[in-house]
Amino acid sequence: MSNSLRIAWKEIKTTLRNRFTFLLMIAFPIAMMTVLGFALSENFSSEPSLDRISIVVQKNVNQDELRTAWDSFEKGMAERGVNWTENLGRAESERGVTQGRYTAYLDVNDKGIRYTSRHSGGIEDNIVEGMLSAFVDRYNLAVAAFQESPELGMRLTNALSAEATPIKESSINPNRSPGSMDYYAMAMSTMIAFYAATTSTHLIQGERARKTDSRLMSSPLTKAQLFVGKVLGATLINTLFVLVVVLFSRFVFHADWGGHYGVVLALLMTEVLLSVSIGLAAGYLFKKDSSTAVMIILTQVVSFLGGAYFPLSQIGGFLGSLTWLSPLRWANHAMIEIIYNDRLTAAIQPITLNLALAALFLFISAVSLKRKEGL
Amino acid sequence: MNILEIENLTKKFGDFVAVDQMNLTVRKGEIFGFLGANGAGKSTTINMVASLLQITRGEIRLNGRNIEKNRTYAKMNTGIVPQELAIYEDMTAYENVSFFTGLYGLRGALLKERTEEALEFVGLGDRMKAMPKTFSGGMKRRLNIACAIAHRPELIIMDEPTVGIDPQSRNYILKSVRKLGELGSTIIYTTHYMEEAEELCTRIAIVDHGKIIAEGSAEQLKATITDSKEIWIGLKLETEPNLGKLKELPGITAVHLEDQTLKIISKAEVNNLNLILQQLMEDHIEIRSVDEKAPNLETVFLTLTGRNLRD
Repeated sequence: MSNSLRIAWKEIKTTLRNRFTFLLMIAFPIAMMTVLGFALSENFSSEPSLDRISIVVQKNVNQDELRTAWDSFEKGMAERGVNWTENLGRAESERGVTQGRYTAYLDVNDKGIRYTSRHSGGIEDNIVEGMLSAFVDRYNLAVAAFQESPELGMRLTNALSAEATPIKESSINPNRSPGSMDYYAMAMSTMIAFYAATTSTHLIQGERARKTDSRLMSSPLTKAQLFVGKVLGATLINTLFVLVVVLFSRFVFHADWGGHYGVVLALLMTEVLLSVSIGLAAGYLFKKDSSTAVMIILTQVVSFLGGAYFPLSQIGGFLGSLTWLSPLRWANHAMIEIIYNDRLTAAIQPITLNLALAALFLFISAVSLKRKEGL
Repeated sequence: MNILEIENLTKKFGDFVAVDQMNLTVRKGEIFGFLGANGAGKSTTINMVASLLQITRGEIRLNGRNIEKNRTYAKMNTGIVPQELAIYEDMTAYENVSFFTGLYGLRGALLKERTEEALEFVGLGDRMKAMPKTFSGGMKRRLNIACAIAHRPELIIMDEPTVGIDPQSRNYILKSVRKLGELGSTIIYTTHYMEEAEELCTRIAIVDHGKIIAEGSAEQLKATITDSKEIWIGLKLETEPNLGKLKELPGITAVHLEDQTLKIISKAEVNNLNLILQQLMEDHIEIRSVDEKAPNLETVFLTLTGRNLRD
């Protein structure tokens, strides 16, 4: 076993024996996950919330087949929650759409259907547009068909009437969005990965405090070996803590971690490495006691901005931009993409950022250690 | 044959000169006492020998090899028992010794054998699996020693290994040091207890203001002050005696007050006892006893430095 591995192994062993660290890194996130996951379950719904869909329609259909087809469509839509308002007049109807009281305005007659939507970008606009465009195309086709061949027009309108709606609901997995427990399992795991920053301020400082620095530095152990061993040990043990939290949430709370465990673990591990590096650098940049205090404050701010306590991803403006400064935000965002949208490339950016920043902070620590006489 | 040679050694911290062109040799197999008051420069010297501090100027050679140019060799052949306990409270006694010894490249069965041997040597063979937090102060000190000797260094540096422990543990440690010496180890031993140095050390160096001011065996050092005598006067102190006036009396070279005892070093040929007592009476100080002591290491130290070793 090389001296670096010996140091790493000692670090892992003594950390596992430290009850406080054990409580902070495992019991605390599990307790938080339990409390927040159950308490805020109402705030997480896998169903998207929609505004009420109201459509104003100007009807003037005399041909029986077309009216039957329209009535069938109107009824089918009403069953799916669409409110129909009739015959307000064109000007009032268009004003209603502009002012947002109605999602769309339809002018239905024997010559076809003309529709006006508000194009606000809301999800209900897209739904209405999808529903209508399919029906309107077929309705207009039937109108055109009647002019050329009444028989063909009949066949088309009969087909239209037979369907309550031409929209077929289908989904690969309608439940693939995080519930409260899924969210907090993920948020607590990334939070605890960042907590490694607090415990890592003591990695080398602790040797000075225990006076073991003289014994270590009088042995053939080099500063570089000590440094590598400390970073390696702290990264491995903190990753292990995160893994325990992940596995606990997976098997006890059945949190959804998707199917790409390797990528998720790689992302969490690079976040742990970044946290260890920040903590280590803080040990050199700040005085003995203040480094811990600074790290406690930093972890709380980073946790809050990263959405560890409440999801802040929907917040816009300055605070919304501020959330992107938190490594937890990068990690949480990427993990949602990986777990729920199978977009593995989402991991590239946070992993690269984590590694680059970790390299910077490790460099600061290594230079400080090298310059210092002793540790 | 010399195991350690220190030549013109200087260490500066900014403008402060902690060690000033020190020259010293330690012979193979001897227990070498290194005495000095706090701030005299002995810890700085020891830390440079143990490769913990960089040398500003001069040279240290271990077995003839410059330790700066042969860092690994020097470290492999040196063991340090720091003044402060340097052990992990959350690792067992065995794990502590094994961990530190492993850093010297020992592995497997040999590491196990040396670890157990060192723990047996310091009398902790039956407490190998116990955590140091369950140990007494003396047991922790013994573990501190075991961590330094398990890799069998040629040179062992012991910095005040008996500070703050019970007499029984102290005796055990002194016995262990003597035994290590008998087994051929070379030991540099610093202490505040003169009787320890006198009892253990084959040679002693007294360091003051970063320089060696005297060197030799206890007997040789004591012989340097045959023209001095030490007078101990027991007092009942209610007011501070005027030490300045006492120092002005003829023949007096040093005056030191320790608790209720006034320790005065004076030239042997000067009969000044009456003058000393008269001065104390003038200061309205009650005298309880008067005793003239044969010179010991403490007298030597006080004479040479004007300070008590525990100052």
